[in-house]
Parts: sequence; C-alpha cells; structure tokens
Amino acid sequence: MSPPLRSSPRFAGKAAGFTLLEVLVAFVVLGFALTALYGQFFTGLRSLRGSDGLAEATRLARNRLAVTGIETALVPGEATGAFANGFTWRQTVVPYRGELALPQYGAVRPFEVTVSVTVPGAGAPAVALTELRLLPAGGPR
Amino acid sequence: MTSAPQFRERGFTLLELLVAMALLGLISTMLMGGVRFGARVWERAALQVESTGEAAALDDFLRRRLSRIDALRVETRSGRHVLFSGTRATLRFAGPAPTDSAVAGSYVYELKRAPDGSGALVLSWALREGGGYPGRLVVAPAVRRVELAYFGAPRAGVAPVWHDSWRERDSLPQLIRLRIVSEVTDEAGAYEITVAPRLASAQELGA
Repeated sequence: MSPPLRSSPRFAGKAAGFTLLEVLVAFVVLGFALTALYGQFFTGLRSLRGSDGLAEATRLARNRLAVTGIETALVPGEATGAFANGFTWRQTVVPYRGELALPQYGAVRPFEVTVSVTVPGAGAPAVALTELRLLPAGGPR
Repeated sequence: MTSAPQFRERGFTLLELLVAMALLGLISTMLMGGVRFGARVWERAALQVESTGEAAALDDFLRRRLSRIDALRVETRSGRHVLFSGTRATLRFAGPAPTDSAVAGSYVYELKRAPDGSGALVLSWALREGGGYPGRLVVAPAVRRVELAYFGAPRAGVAPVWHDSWRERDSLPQLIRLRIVSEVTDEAGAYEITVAPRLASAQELGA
C-alpha cells in the first residue's frame, strides 16, 4: 500500500490538507476518467450501428444467394457488384472438393457458392454466406 | 517557509474556497450531464436492439414461409393450376404450418394490406381444409407501398423474366421479390427480400 497522503512536509505534525495543485491534479485525473467513461458510450453506440449494418449485410447476402443461379447465371469463378444502397457483394463459385454422399441422380455436380457483403466504407466483408448447389455436370448454366 | 503562526488553525483562503466551489460546480455539472447522456444512450440502444432483433426475426420468418411454398395443385374454373396467386400487392400461397408448434397440415397464407385502413401489411394463415387454426402477423405496421414481383417462365421454352403477377400457372415462380416501402423510412430504407421457393427449383432440376 502507498504511504498515507501528506500534502507537504511543511505541515508535518499538523492535520494535513491538500494543496490547490493536488486538488487540480485530482480533478484532471477525474476528467480523464470521465472522458474515458463517456467514450465507452460512443463506442457502444457505434457498435450498435455496426450491428445494424451486419443485419442489413446478412439480408442482402441472402437475397443475392437466392437470385444467383436463377436470375443470373452461376459461373465458376468470381463476380462482384453493388446493391442500390452502396453495399457491395462478391461471389465465388468453386467446385465442391469435400466428400459428399450423393445419390446418383444422373449428372449433377456440387458447387460451393459463397457470397460476401461489405458495408459501405468498411474494408473487410461484414458477412460471408456459403451454400452448396447441385448443377448439371455439363457446367453451370 | 510558512508565515502562519505555529499554533493557529490554518483555514482556506477565500480564493481557495472560491476555486474549490467553482471546480465542484463544474464537476457536478459534468456528472449530471453524463448521467443524462448515459440515460439517453441507454434508451436509444434498447430501442435499436429491439428493432434490429424484430427485423431479423421477421426477415427469417418471411424467408422461411416463402421458401417452403407448396406446389399444391387445385382445380379452378380455368383448369388445374398451382395454388399460388400473386399480384403486385397481394400474395396467396400454400405451405406447411407457420411454426413448429402449430398443428401440422397444409395451410393457406395470404399477404395483403389490412382491410381496416390502418395501412398495415398482414400475413394471415389458416388450415386449408376447414380454415381452422387461423393466425396473423403484422409484417409492417404502416406501409406506403408494397411491390411484389415474380421471376419465372410462364410456359416451357420461354425465357424467364420478372412478372408483376403470377396467377393460375402450372408451376411456382422461381423467385419471389417483396419490397416494402414503409411510412417511416424513405425509398432507400425500403425492406426488400428475394426468396427462391425450393420446390420451384426442384421442378426445374427434375425437368
């Protein structure tokens, strides 16, 4: 533990008070602590807004996954695009490499479709959804 | 060193007292402001969490319902068609029970504006046979506009495109798009989902 607080040696032996300087320093420290505390509020609000962006990105990724292969052709490789509200998507289609116990219904091949959506202004994608699609072996439409 | 007499109680000078009081005032103002600010943040956060959670739950429910539409065929005046009737603003389809705890069976769902003029978009359902176990869900409380669109080929051999309506067809549409512009948000904040009914793609693959 720290030694008992003494304002200065000059009052040794008397009831020791605090000097104005000490009080000021204490207030400054308090100010720093409060600032850090309020900063947390802002951080909290920001991450809340971030969660909204994440929800929106998930919704858009699901929309994109529904559309791909039906409205737009599913081509192996990479494709990118933007939604009307500024979110961007990136889609990769690769042949599925894992083991799959598929009943042999003629000629279908499994493809792994991944859609990732990035919130405007963010560097990394907020969400990436992957789906397995069965496509005619002749190649995706 | 000090000029104060050795055995006199040393008090505060008026200046020290004034400074201390001013600082105390400043600190309490900051604290009060902080408390008020904190309360506001708390309130807003609670509201936002609630609305985000509700929107996610609703989105999930709608997607589930639309992706599990049954390709049920029924006899109509103009022949035998799939029980699916979609217009720009309304939708009627058949599907499994709305929730896992509901009575199992084939249900008929209807998505349309509430007839009471409140502007709410409501999804209602009931058992197809006899109309038992009805239920309803307010999809959006105050809706300015609902836009439904259906993607598919009306006949075999025709390229699929988006349609404003899908009625008395022999198959389900391949995609259903629902766009809701509410009274409280602008066009950019419109809620839009696109769902592929699974049975439609199953028909496609099998064909």
